[in-house]
Amino acid sequence: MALFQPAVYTQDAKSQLDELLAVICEELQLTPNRYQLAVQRYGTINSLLEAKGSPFVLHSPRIYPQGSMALGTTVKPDDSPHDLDFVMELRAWNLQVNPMQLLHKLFEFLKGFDTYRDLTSLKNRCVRVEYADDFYLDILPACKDVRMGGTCISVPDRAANGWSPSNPEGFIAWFKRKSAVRQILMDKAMPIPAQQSVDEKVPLQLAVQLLKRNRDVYFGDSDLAPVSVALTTLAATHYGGENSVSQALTAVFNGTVTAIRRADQNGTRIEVCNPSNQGEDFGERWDSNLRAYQAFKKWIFELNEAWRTVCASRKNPADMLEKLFGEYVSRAEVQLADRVQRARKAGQLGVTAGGIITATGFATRVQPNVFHGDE
Amino acid sequence: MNNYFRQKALTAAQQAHHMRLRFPEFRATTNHGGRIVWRGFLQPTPWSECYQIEIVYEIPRRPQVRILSPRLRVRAGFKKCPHTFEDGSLCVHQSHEWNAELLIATTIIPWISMWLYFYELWLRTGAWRGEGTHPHLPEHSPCPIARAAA
Repeated sequence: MALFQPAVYTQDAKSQLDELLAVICEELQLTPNRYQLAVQRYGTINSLLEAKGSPFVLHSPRIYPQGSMALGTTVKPDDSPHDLDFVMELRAWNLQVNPMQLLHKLFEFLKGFDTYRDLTSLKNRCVRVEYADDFYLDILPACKDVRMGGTCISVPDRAANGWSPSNPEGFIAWFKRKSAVRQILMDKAMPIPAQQSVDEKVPLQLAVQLLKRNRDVYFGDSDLAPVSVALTTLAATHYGGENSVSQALTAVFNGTVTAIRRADQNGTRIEVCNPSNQGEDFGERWDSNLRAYQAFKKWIFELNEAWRTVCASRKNPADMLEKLFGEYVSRAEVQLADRVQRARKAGQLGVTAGGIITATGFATRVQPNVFHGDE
Repeated sequence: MNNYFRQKALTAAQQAHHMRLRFPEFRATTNHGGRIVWRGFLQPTPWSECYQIEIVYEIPRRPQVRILSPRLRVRAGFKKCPHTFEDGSLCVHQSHEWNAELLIATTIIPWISMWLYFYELWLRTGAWRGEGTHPHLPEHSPCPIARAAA
């Protein structure tokens, strides 16, 4: 978690908005305890898969996190369990392995352990271990993609009854490149990076968290909701290196709206491919579900409008933000106020000539005081 | 501290000088030597209202602080604003924290800004996070964010 840092209000509303958004993101991410628990479970399964009795040991499996945990963009789900994805990549070419057998082998192997017998289930592309306390660990078995090379992999796809292309490591590297305004992002994808406090996160990571959170609020448990990886790709594609999360969101919304309009004119849908493996289309689902694409467009258009209003507000837009991000907003406001209070007690605050609370140095210092009351 | 030292109250001119220096928007509307009244504006954050403040200071008594506009509101479910006196003026400090040797510009004024900041959050959330005396009152409880209930 973030070390104590005094809130420093500047005299403009944009910085105040960015500060509130950063604290909302802090509230949104996995709590340190949950994070530790996830890391621990990842470690346990990892050692089983690498151990002597494992049917994969001859192919020296390499297990690494993918998705939001690797990207630093986790968001607490409202009611559903938290799912954490990782890849078990075998040192084997996809042409030498039968994808369905591989998936089933992993499933049977984990089911063989008493601990996992009742927790394990088979999904379309992965094996899911579902813990009683609201955690999914999804393990995606994979082989190297001979044709594509590099970090490209093939993963079993039961619906297609064959291999499906992917490149999670390439995606992480691409996301990292796209988000670099400061040089403090994930240096390696393995092991799971120590969870960053929000102060260390870059605007793109925060923007993705907020985008996903608004998706959850807007769609609830509707199956029309766009998938996280599509949103992450859109955000990183349209992010322009802004050094402010509110401006990053503006850029992402504007860029996405423009891309949608252009696609509409061409009579197509927007492209959301894994930039590191064009064969992996994150928007695939929209081809077979037009309603989901329509719902996505409506959502982005509305969000774009709502965001303009938030950014233009000269009053506290907390009510508007609450509609977008839910109860995390008032929690974040209280968090922020508590930091202000700690800074005040530590004598780190000042007041400008107009009364605005700010860091000391260029203002009248706030002397220690205690609000008294009359009863 | 004995009475001899208590006599060292700053003069109205000294107080007024420092107010002009640090908060030039505050104007002394009355200054009779023994009694001084300032009016001015404070805005605790860029998103906040701009509050018109009146400070009435009768040397060496505790300065009285009132919000002239916009009028203070009381959140639904509460009888009055936290840390206010019956007459509606603000309690921004404990009695021992202020005396007439201190500059109003460096004590009372910053404290008013802090008070306003916490007041605005209290209006929205029901939580008074600026601490203070009366920790037993509901707004001081650890988790009073009863937005939905309000």
